[in-house]
Formats: sequence, C-alpha cells, structure tokens
Amino acid sequence: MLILITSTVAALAMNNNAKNQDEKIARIYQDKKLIYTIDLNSVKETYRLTIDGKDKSENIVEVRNGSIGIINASCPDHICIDTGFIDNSSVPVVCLPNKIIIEISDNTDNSIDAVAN
Amino acid sequence: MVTLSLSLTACNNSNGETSSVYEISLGSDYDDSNEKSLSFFAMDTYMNFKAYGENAKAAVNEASTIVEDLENKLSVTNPESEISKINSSANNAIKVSEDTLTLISTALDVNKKSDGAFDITIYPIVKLWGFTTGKYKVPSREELSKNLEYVDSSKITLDEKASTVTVPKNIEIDLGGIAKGYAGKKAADKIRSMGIESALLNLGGNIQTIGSKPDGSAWGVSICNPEDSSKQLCRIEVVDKAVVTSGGYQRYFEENGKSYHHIIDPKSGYPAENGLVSVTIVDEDGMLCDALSTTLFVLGKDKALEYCEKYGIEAILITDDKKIYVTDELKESFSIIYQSSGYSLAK
Repeated sequence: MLILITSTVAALAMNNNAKNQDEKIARIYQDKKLIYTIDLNSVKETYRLTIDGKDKSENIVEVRNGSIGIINASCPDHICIDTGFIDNSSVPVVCLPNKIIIEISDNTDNSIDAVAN
Repeated sequence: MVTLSLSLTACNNSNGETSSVYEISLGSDYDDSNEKSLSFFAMDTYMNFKAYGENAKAAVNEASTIVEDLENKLSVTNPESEISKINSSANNAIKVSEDTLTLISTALDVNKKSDGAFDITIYPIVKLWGFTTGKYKVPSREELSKNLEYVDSSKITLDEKASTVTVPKNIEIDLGGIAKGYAGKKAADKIRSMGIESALLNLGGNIQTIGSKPDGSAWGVSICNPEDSSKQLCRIEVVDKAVVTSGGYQRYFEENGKSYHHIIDPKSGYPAENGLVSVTIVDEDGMLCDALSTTLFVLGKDKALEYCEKYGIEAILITDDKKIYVTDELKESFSIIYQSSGYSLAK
C-alpha cells in the first residue's frame, strides 16, 4: 500500500517536472502584434512559415524541434538570417527592417540572464 | 499555465513615424517574483526591459518613455532632433539639452584620452560605407580622403554654461556609438528612483543591470562567440553594472570576397583591423561602456590593455587568434562556456 502511494506521488511529481521543462515557447511578433505562439518541443517535423509584411516584405521562418530561425528575408541587411537558429531565451531573432521579433521563453538555464552583443 | 496578455500602445514620433510598444506579461508560472517585461523598438534596435517587484510595470513603462524621448533628441536621421540642428547649423551656436551636452562632453573626453580612436564626427565616413542605409559599398580612396577632412572632434565647440554646441559647416555629429549606453543609464536611474531593486535592461545587446537578481544572486551575462553569434563563448557575473560589447561580427558586408565591418577607424576611414574581434566593457556607467567598447576595438589589443590599466577600466578582449584577455577584477566571475571552438584564456 505504502509503495503504491509513493510511486503515485513520484509519478505526479515527474509529470509536473516534465510539463515545466518540456515547454519551450517561441513567440513571433510582427510590428506590434503577436502572430504565432509555437511550442518548439512539440514540433515533430521541420516546417516553414512565410510572414508577409508592408511593401512586399517577406520573412521565411523555419521551425524545427527545439529551435527556430529565419532562413530567407527581403530585408537588405540579412542580420535576421545571420543570427541563425535560436534554442533559448538569451537572444531573440530580430528583423528590424521588417519589424519581426522571434523570442523564446524557457525556464531552463538560469545561469545566463542576458547576452551582451 | 502561462498566460499572455498583450497590450498595444502606438505613439507618434515627431518625424511622423509610428513606433510601437508591446508588452508581455507572463502569468503564474513566471510571476513568482512579480516580473514585468516590456519589449519595444527604439534607437534602431530591439529593446527589452524587465523589472521585479512592486511598481515594476510603471517602472519599465516610464523607462521606455525616457529612451524614446532621448531618441527624438539624439537621432541623426530625425530632422527635428538636436543633433540634426547642430549638423545643419553651419557655425551657429545651437542651444541643446543637458542630455546632449553630457553626451558630447563625454565623447570629447574619450576622444582626447584615446588619441582620436573614438570620434563622433566620423558620420560622413560611415555614410560613405552605407552603414546608415544598408546600401553597402567600399568607397574610393579619393572619397575617403576628402571626407576624412571632416572627421575632427577638435572642431566641436562646447559651451557648458550657455548650453550650446557649435560646429563648422561639413562637420557632422552622430552619437550612435554612445547614445544607447546613455539611454540605458538614464533608464536605470529612473527605475532605481522608483524603488526597484532588481531589473535587467537589454538595449539592442547593451546590457544594463539594476541591483542583483530577485533571489539576491548576481546577474549572469554572456558574450557571443564572434564566429557564431548564436553561440555563447564566456560568462561573467555582475551586480548594478552595464555590459557592452562591440564586435566586427555584429554588422558587416562582403565585397569581392573581402569582409568589411562597421567599426571604422577615424584615422584611416577603413574598418579597424587591429587583431581584435570583440571588446566588452563592464562598468557602472553604461554610457562609458558604450563609448569605450568601440574605442578599445579601434585601439587594438596592446593599446586597449594600456587604456584599461591607465583609466581603471574593466574589459574582456577577444583576438583574431582566439585568445581572451580579461582584466583583473573580472577574472573572479569569468568562465568560458563554449570551448570547443578553440578559444582560450590569455595568460
């Protein structure tokens, strides 16, 4: 009986832990609007999103399991593409000309609060 | 469990453009310490302000307004800004705000101390390279030498009593190398004055910390691998300090197989090539951090280390042969995160 209770508690605790740690939410903003919220850890197959903006601007976002990045963009500087794929909350992917921000909120790495760049 | 509330504010700059502010409030999972986070675009970059505790929401809002007000005063592309008025003044004294006076006076001081490695009159050269518009090109030697005549901070006359700035025709000031750091400093002062003891401001990669983390521990700030800025190379711990990095990897273009970055040496008019790939300054004063990260990058390793020694500056220098130089006071909290790429601490 005691064993059963203990294992149930353990199972519950594990379940809770798994829920918190498994969450890796990416949010994509265009100008001032949240346009996508994606749990990157639940992505099974890599896929792409096209974000159309003003003056025929375009950004193509690739969503992978655990990471996200911009792979093609109409902006002149391509800083958003050069940032590469992000997999944690320390650095956002930003396309200034097309006003796109991709941020990840996770709760896993407490040792880095900010990236000087 | 995470709830998201999005509130939208649009405000008009004096140049008629609409800038936008959005706010993310993370719900219960994130709310143990009453965190308020605000992300917005200002000064041509992405900013995120986080504050903790009572009053946090009002604090980040007011701090962001301070940054936007400064942008209106200081932007070189806004024709109504104080800087634009100075640039088109043709030798007439222009009355300016305390902010502009402080910035120009600090810039002139760093210019002197660095023997001209930092120069806010570099703007005509930066324009030639296309770093202001994104239409990059390598200027001809003739164009460069002609415009280098207009790079001369000694032509700026500052009258602190009368609060005026005078520059001759063709001299143009751009505070891009110092304004973000100053904005972080002023925003931090505002947040502190509202009783906040823990906040983290990210002004397009310029980091300004207020106090320590809500749990009392120091903030962990990392520095990018210059070869791959999505990876982190090393980490330091700070309390109540600003951390600012300048690197050639941050903005560059390629022409005929050669890479040209955005940190221009005011003496040559070409991107500074002195063996450094990244310079990070850590100091209480974010404005100084901003100016000195550029300055030391231009000076190169040896002169940069001399400068640190002479003026008591704490810095992390990364060289193109993958050595990391760390000044004494930072050594205690310094650690390397990403070692597989062959970077190592210089002796």
